[in-house]
Amino acid sequence: MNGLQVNSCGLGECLDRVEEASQWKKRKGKLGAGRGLGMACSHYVSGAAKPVHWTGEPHATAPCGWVFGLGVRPGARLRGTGTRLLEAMCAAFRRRRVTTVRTLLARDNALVLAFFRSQGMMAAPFIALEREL
Amino acid sequence: VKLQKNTLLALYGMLEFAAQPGRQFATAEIAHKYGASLHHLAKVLGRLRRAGLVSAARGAGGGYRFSGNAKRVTLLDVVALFEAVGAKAPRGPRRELERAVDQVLAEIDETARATFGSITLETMLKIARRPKAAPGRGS
Repeated sequence: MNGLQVNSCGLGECLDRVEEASQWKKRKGKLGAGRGLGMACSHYVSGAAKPVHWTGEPHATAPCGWVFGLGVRPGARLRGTGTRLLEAMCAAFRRRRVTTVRTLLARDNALVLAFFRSQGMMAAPFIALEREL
Repeated sequence: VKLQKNTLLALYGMLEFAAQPGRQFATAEIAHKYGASLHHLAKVLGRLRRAGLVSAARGAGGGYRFSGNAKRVTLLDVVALFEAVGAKAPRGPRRELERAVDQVLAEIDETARATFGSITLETMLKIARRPKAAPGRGS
């Protein structure tokens, strides 16, 4: 992603170790009525400016470019600079055969949301979720 | 999300005006186009005028023209004149379940507000003019 290659995130090895430590094969289906054995896994991408969970990774279906940041000084706005910056990014993405461009913004960031909207971007089919820990 | 008739009429009107800024529209023209009564539309336009989004022209025929900034006026600016996006939770003692349901409804309202607030009239006109197969969507 972002021009880097992720060859392995170690998920397979991780699952093997969980299987062994939980004695999965020995216990599965043999715990009696009302008891079961389950597992869940998750992963995150480290080293990026933002965690990118849903795309751009090797198992994602379509290559997707992420816009992490774009800024124009207040005094220099309303002259199409942002539009040209984004267009340059999109051109670079297209050269790498990336077919979708995506970004993530705070819901109350009205100005920047309006900018990306004006560039033809619409809501992506994802919902960002979080909880306090 | 479902908007009231008045609100939709206001949005359609604002978009018609913003698409041709400087042009004066007869109330009857908009009313006919969107199947609204003159009386009904006059009330809607009156509210838009008081908000400074349109200006009224005097004289024979009368009419209205756009007086906002299409790059800055958002759908929320128009919608909020006619209805609250997300009614406030009722006061008084609330049961736990009622509060929990309120919380989810508030989440939906927040998203709706953010969506309306991020789309300017100009962007809306762009969306309307865009060819059907929207670029960047689907595969």
